[in-house]
Amino acid sequence: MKSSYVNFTLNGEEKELLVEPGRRLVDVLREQCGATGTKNGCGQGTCGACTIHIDGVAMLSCLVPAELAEGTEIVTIEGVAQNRTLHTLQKAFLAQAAIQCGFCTAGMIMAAKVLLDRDPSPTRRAVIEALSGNVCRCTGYEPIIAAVLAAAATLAEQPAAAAAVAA
Amino acid sequence: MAFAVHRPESIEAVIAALDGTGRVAVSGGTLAVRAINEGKSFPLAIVSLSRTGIAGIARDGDVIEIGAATPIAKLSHPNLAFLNGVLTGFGTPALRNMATLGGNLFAPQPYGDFGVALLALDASLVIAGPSGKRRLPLSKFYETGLASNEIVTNIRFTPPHPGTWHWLKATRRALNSAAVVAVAAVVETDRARVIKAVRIALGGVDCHPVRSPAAEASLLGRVLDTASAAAAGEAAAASHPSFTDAYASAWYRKRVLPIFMRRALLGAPLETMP
Repeated sequence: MKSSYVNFTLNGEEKELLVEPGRRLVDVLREQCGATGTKNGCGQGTCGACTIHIDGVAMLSCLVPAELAEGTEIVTIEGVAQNRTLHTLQKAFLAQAAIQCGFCTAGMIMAAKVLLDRDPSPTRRAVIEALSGNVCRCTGYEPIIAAVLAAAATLAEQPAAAAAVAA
Repeated sequence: MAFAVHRPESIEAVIAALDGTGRVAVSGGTLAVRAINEGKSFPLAIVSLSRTGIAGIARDGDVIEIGAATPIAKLSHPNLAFLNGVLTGFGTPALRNMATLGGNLFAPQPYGDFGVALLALDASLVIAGPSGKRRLPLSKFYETGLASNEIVTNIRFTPPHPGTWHWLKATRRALNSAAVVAVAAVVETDRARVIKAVRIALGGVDCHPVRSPAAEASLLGRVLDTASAAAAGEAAAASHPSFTDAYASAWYRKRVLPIFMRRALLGAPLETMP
């Protein structure tokens, strides 16, 4: 059982980490990088709580052996706020009370962000589809869907903020 | 947790790395890594296909050839528009970004929607092993499986003629649900709507995707209409064992199969969602 060095970019910062073989990326992020916003839920790829962006694509970090993240650019919930200012999506989740226990929230926002990056004016149906892999046991989803639609509406009013989402 | 993770850069190196005990080939990881996380699989080494370059969609004359490590999300492609229904009903957005077409052939039922679709397309596989490459019809693959040091590198099929493709999946939820039953069919009819050729594949009825010879035989030479489509469904329900799991009971699966067969063949309005 031999550990190896794994290099990737986490929220813009270069990381070089000594990783035990086959260790899950979610555990490396949480325990070796201190990025505990990403949650370890089911470990089956079913709940979406561990959703992160790898090279701009939403993926489930519980299903990725960390070695396979070598050379990638990773963004977690900690990289969504810019200059200590919450992202419009994050503000919308607060304003709409789309959070209760908060366990699913990071995954919800990472899933919603790839949708808004691709489609800044999504339909309600598109929001539901984008969040279909993220399970919430508290809110009943309605405030979460409302928050994503509200964030899209805010971004539509603020071209500069929309540009920041794309960046 | 495995004891080593290998990322070979060629198919030959993958085959060599798989030679030994306790090696598992991993493509997207949504099945193999999940099994490790659940404590159902204890590989000594993971052999990743991610650097082998066996991803992509190409045309070879009339045939479409898809690399086994192509993520499901990449199947949203102009040449594959007929598969959009399979694609949008498959798992979740993040899962579609990870899961691959080759990997889906190994999904236990009632997962593996693309295996069902590819079986109706009469797909064939390119298999790489220690003695080189070989072709294997998908229908044979489900009977024989592969040796532990073989991998699927490509999936090949001829796209169906316009208007001949049928797909419908019964699910527990509108999104993110495995199949209660899944029906895929290619139905060729003449000008009088008499069925000249038909291939029907089913999910949710057996331990792997299966063709339904009984349903196919009942349709051949008949006009495709409500009566013949319903009869095909009854023939299928009578000839497959079905099974019970958390999604549905065997009894329920047998009850809904004829209905979804009829809807698949005749074209039902899609379920609406709020």
